[in-house]
Amino acid sequence: MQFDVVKKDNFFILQISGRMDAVHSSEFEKECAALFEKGMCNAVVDMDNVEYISSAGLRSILFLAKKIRTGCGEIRFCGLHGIVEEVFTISGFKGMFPIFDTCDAALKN
Amino acid sequence: MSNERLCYRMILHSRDEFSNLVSAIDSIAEQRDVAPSVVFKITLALDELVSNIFDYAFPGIPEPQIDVVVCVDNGVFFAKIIDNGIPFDMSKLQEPEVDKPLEERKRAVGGLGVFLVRRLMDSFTYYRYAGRNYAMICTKLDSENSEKGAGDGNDYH
Repeated sequence: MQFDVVKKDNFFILQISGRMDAVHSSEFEKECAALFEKGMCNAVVDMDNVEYISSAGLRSILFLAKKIRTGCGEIRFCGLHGIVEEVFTISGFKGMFPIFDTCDAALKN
Repeated sequence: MSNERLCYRMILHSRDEFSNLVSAIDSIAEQRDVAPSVVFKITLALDELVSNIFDYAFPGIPEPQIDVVVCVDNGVFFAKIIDNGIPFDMSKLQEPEVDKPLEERKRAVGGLGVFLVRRLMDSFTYYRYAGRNYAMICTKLDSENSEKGAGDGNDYH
């Protein structure tokens, strides 16, 4: 899993690539904790390059989302496609979060 | 696509060895030209089952072991996952609250993995026999003809 962060306007854009599974979920949560220390309030999570996601990956996304919402921030998703999108749908995540086709759209709304 | 049966068998002693199983699935996929989305579903189902077993089935078990056979035969993928853990019926796991908003979910997302297995595979069965847990999953390799929904719980044993 690779984790790149770009700051734009009031949002931290989290570009995730590779595998979001049990092996990488603690790494993801650590990266997120570091971003909260840097003052992250709102986040756009770019899932375009995520190759694989399991329930462990979904749990780490919930961890991030709960922390953001507890701080009254906002979390949005973009770049979902294929089977990763299907897993999002089945798990009920599509109904829980604002999801946009592109990151630009996620930032504009 | 060849219709001849192709199987791999391996013994896993820890979650770290799951990558061996991923290699076996990749090898099957390459030999039988399986669509990437189907490879993803199969890998995900095996990942969830193996992770659950290592997380819950082995308290106090001196030599934890999961014996996995994965096969393709006549356009169908199936896997048999046998472990020497404590009786562990995954059908008893609570369904996650997937239809509730985040703030209203009281439970941690326990059971989400098994829920995904049931939704992504055409069939998922479990039974306890002779001191071991048996889990079996099947799906068609041609995802267009998938009998989705069959794994929603009615076929649980």
